[in-house]
Parts: sequence; C-alpha cells; structure tokens
Amino acid sequence: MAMRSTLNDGCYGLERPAGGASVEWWWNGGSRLGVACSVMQQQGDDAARLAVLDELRRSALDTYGEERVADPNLEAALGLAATAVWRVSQERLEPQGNEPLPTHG
Amino acid sequence: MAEARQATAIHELTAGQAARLIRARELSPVELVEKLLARAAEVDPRVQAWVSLDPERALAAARAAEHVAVSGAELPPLHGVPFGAKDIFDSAGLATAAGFRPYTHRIPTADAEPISRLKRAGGILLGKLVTTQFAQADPSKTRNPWADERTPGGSSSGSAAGVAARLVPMALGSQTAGSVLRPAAYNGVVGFKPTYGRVSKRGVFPLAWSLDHVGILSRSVEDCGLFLAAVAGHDPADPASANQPLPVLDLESEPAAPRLGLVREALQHATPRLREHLLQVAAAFEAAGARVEELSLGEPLDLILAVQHVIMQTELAATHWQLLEQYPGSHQPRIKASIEVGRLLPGVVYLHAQRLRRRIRAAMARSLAHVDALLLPTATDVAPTRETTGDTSLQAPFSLVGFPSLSLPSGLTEAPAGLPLAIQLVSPAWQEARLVAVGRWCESQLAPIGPPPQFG
Repeated sequence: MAMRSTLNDGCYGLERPAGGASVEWWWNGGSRLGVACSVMQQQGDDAARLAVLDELRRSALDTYGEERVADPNLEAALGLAATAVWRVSQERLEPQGNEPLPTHG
Repeated sequence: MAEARQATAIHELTAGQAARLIRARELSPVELVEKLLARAAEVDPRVQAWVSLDPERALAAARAAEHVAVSGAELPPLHGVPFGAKDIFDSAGLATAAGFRPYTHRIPTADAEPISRLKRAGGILLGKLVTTQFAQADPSKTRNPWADERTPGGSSSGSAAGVAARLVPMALGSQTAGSVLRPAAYNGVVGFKPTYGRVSKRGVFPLAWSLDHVGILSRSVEDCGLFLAAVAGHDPADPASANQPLPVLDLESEPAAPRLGLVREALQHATPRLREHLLQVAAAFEAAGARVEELSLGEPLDLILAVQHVIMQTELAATHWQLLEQYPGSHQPRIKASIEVGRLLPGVVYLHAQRLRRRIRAAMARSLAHVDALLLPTATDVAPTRETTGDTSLQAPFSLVGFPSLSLPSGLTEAPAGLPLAIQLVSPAWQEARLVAVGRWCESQLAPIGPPPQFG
C-alpha cells in the first residue's frame, strides 16, 4: 500500500529494519498514524513535525542514552509519537474552566 | 428457539444454544465441559489459544450445575455454559500472568468482577486465554485458525482464536484501541465491546485506564446480549464504572430493519477489497429494507487517531514505568518502547488531547443522531502476516469516545485464501440494546461463514 511505504520510507525519516523486513514489521500503530502522516505531507508541515521529533529524540537521548535510542522499536515509537503530538498540537481550543472527566463531558 | 440436539456437534454450540439445551435437560454441563477439555487436548496444540485450563474446578462446577439442573430449580441465563477469559482478568486460584514472565506464578485470591458476574449468571470458567503482553502490540504465540501464516490479531488473540476454533463458546477480552473487534474480524467470530463504564474492570490488569474496555468474543449476537445482561451494571469499587440504567435487551422478537450510516472516512481509509465488500454488504442490507446513508464522523480521522495515540501512550507509560524499572529485561520490545516514549510526552499535550477527545465525542454523537448505528469495516483489510497484530485505525475511534461497537463476520475472501471479512456497527453511548438489535438484524441478513476448514 502506498500509504504504508510512505510511512516507512519518508514520513518518519526512518530506515526499514535490516534484512528487508515487511512494512508490517512496524507496530499496529504504524499504519493508523500513517493517516496523519499522509495528511501532514499534503499540508507541507513536515518541518513542524520534524521539530517535534527532534525534541522527543533529544529527550530520549538524555533519558535513555544513544544505544537505546538506536533501537528500531524505540525509533519507531518516537516517530509515531511525534506525528501524534504534532497533530494534536495543531488543534486550537479556547481556554476552559472546570474540566469534566474524560468520558463524562 | 428449539435446538436440534443431534444436528450440532457439541463444540459448535453457541452459548445461547448450550444454555437452552441444558435448561431443557437435553445436554449435561458435565458432558459439555468434558467435550471441550477433550477438544482442547486435540486442537489447541495447533492454535495455542489456552494459557491454562482449570479442569478440576470446571468439572466440579459442571457437576454442581447438573445437580441444580435436574432438580427443576429456576436456572440463571448461562447455567452450565463454559467460558474463557483473557489472561489479564484475575481468576481466583488460577495464575494470571498477562503474558509477563515475572507474573507466571501470580495467583489472585479473587475473580475479576466480569468473571465473578458471569459465574453468578451460571457460567463456568474453563481456563485462561493467551493475551499479547499486557494487552499491547507485541504479537503472541497464538495462531489464526483460518491461516497459520496470518495473525489472529491482538491483544485478545487467544480469546478470538479459541472461539473460532470451537474451543469455547465465548471468551472475555479487552479493548484499548481495537483488541476485541479486530481479533474478532480476523478470526471470523463476533466481537462486542459495550460503552466505556458499562462493565466493571475491577481485577482486570489496566493498560490505559481511560480507554480500556471489557468485551466479549462469541459466535452469535445473541451471546453478546447474554454476556451484557450478565455483566452490565454499576460497581462502586471500580472508579470507571458508571451508574447508568441497565440496557433492556430483546433477544427474542424479530428486529426491525435499521437506519445505518455508512462512514465516509472508513470507506476512504479501507483497502479497495474491504471498501468493495462493505458497499456490497450495504447494498444487500438496503435491498432487505435497511436505510443506508453516507455520513462523516465529524472530525478528521487523522486527528481522532492522533488523540487516541497520545492518550494511550501517556497512560500506558504511567501504568507501567515502575514495572519496567522493577523487572528490567522482562518487557517485550514494542511495549517497552511505548512505555519509554510515553514517559517523555508533555503533560500539557495529554490534557490537550483529553479536551479534544470531548470535542470528537460530541461530533460523533451528532453524526449518530439520525441513524441507529454506524456501518464500516471492522478492519482496513484481512488479517496480515504474523509480524504485527494488525491495523487499529478503524476500531480505535470508538475506544476513544467510548461508544459501544460490534463486529460481525460478513464473508470470506475468494478461495484458496478464504480469509474472514467483517463489518462493524457502532451506536451512541449507553445504546447497547439498540446495537444488539441492529446486530441481530444484520446477522440475519448475512450468510454464516462457518468454522475454519480444519476446525469444524
């Protein structure tokens, strides 16, 4: 699927795992956030998302060290989280007062 | 509904069919349990759905159930019917490990509340079923009975594959993103998750508390109704349990043809194969009297999934980070990475996502205002290969908003693959009675797909 190859080859800036593993190598979250990924690319917001990814990766390096951050699973998780954080941060909300519980609002 | 005792192999009986036969004294609970234990010995080495069986206690419960049945006493709805539970549900006296090696010998002293309520309704716990580790994304050992090289899905892998392979008529599962409905779709069985807060989660190991739902895997919509009637209801000991009026279920009368909303975003996101299948199913429903209209979820799918991801990753990190430090080297690679990254997400983003979640929920409720249920594919495609547990993007939106959802097997791909296809129905919060009625009508219009070829 085009969307999935976009996810793995371009959007997250990640290498495929060694040995040419299937794109299904990525977690089940990969393809769902591929939706965000493809929309993001259409909107040309790659720089903003990459800035979020850079910040998360720096934080991961400080916390877990270089060797751990090179792990492909952690790398994939950082990419997915960066896309999600970026997308959520795009939405503007007016300040609110009291906040209800998550499913009782 | 009369059951033809001779016409159906015992392992093929749904929970409802078995309960009726027991009530009519045409089936012994002891015979039923013995047959399923024998089937586990014969079939489970190929499926690997069971973590553990509990033959002694199950047979003792079956003998007690038989004694009551022959006494002529009034019987509860699931009297003598065996069920399984995903291995994140505590079970008194039976190890509950959640797929986590350090918990291999963790033996709870009390049942999780859903197990306890199913037992009160007459159910017999047969054993514990395989989960992916802590109900997250690392694939489990369980095999898909339809195709060995395909995933059974996750995280309720054993529950779905076990019900599909006729090892047990119904099994408890849980869903945080898509872990009940997606395995149901991939294994050709029925999956149902009630509204968030409808079913107590006391004694169920959490993943992400504001998204976790208890659900059921079974082989009929009627069984989903029987499950719901048994387990629904407020539990003051569970802070997520809601004090709502109980659903009034009708599992007898003929349901009316429903109004269905075909979800535009799902049609765009599914593979061409699933899109075409859904449109064929929708056309058949329309020809049978349903009203089908296309509608939108009201918010972009990419936003819905991003909000779900932020909330899930933050909460699972909060749930697990201390365990990760306590037992280094015991977590599987994907959940470990999720916990580590979840710890890095800013609190303000999590709270922003929770506020967006309420906006999304209100938009979806508006979309559902003029239909009985949403109609969409359960999964974007058939079960993929085993490196993954599959794509959650069409189930996760309804875990995010907490609406009840139901997956029905709706066909098979062409031979030789013959893989299950499935549709998903979604109703507004607390409208499970409506969802079950719609599900019964849709089920009556769909040709049964039968058991996997090697597991009939």
